[in-house]
Amino acid sequence: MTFMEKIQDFSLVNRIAVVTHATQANGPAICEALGRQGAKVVVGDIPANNPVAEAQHLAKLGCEALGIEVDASQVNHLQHLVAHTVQQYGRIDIMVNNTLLNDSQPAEELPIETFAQGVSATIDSVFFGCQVAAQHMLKQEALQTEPYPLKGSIINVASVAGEMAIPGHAAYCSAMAGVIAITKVLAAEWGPQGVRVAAVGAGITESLLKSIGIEDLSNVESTLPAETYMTLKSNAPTGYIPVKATASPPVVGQAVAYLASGAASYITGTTLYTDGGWLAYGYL
Amino acid sequence: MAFDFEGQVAVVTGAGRGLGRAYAQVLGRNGARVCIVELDPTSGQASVTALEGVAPDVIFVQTDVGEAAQVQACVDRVVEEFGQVDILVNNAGNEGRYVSLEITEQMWRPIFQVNLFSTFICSQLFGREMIRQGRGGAIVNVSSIASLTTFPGRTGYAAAKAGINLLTKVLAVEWAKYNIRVNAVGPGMTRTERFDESLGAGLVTEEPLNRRIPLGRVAEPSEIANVVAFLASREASYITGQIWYADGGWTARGSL
Repeated sequence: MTFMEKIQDFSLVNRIAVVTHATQANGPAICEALGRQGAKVVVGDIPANNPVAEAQHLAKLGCEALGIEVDASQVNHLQHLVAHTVQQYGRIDIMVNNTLLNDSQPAEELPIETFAQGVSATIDSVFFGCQVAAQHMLKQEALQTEPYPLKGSIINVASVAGEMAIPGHAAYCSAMAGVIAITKVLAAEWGPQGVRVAAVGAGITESLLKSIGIEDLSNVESTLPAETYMTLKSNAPTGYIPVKATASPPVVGQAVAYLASGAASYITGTTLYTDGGWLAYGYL
Repeated sequence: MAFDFEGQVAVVTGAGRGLGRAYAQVLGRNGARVCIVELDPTSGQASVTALEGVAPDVIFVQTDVGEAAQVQACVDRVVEEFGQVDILVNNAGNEGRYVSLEITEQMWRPIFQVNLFSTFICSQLFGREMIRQGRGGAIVNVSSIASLTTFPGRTGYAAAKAGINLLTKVLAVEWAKYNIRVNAVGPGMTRTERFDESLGAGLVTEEPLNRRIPLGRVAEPSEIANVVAFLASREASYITGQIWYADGGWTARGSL
């Protein structure tokens, strides 16, 4: 086999992908990015968010999709999600554990239950999402990919908030750091058996800015709340982002699709930050 | 190593044994009045005995740091006994060693309760008291090398400790305006009672560890405690939001 023949492509044709929290936050963009690369996408979310409608939307774009009503915070729901997927398609190649931003509050006022529930909701859905997917992936036949046979890929959605402090977001930042750590441990545990586990670290999004009271990016000074957020106050927020744009769902979706593909075959345990350079910049 | 904690009050959680006791000792020996916070009354009392004659004053408050009401009672007791609180060391924690494929929710949740949620609860409730006093303060959280590098079988522990790292950064940024500094120490392999138990149970063997660690040996508790004392001291007055690994070079080295 020549070197060029060993280069994997980005195609996900005939791969079976499951996405949790699929209609929320970066979820729709992740589903679309996977679908556009050819994956069959199982769209999981709670009934109130109508995952079936999201699947129909994907179908209109030419992607094969299946909507399943599931509460990702419940382990038995996650088990059902994977079981249903396997029943329908025979296997599960890609599991995407999407995560949601939770409420913002100064730490000294944050109710302890809110902190604990905020962390648990995220951490539990990600870890048990990984677990139920891996329990099936480890049993299924491996795809004969380079450089080694691959049984499945798991992609968790983390954030730059798992690396740097976002004031007012004690629970979210703690949970995101946890997701990054879980990704490392499970990559080490399951790598030898052919399951990759990686994460995307979403950058500073408009919803994150809104959650700390920044509604209008063009008029940041006047809309900022208390001095709690002074680290952002001294400059327009995009001033901290080298590429001068906030992170959008499509860049997260693209990164997920890449990490799920054969082109990312040697990537595991890693968090790929799609942050426009935010983490690299020293905020001067 | 000499620090000056005279006139200050330090609270150390999980101080009944191991590193927690070492933190209490170094703070007490350098002049702090110390509150031993511990769930187990026998070891809590033993730490009081160990600190008598070492620290200017020492009390033991039996507390489950995962329970906010008990932590609030502990804050009240410290203020009643000592009139103030200046230093909090969030040391309480446990390991939780499980195979990821077999962890149940019942096994998973307590790991976060004891390591991460207790750190938040104690930081918030003692932090509020520090804010009320208006003189600032120092919080030192106890992270781990497991927050940065992988130990198979420690998924929950790693996630909880990584959560502590970011909690440290968020609280440092939020409470800088109150002059409350929040830092963390990330101990490497340390010769504690738990380590000796793990050796005894055959869970770890020392020789391969020594080869893995650039300094060639596990740490003595005092070597970690000195870092905590420094981060808590006035000498560290410009340091906040940092995670310092005292690990003999563990995290600097890849696995080769």
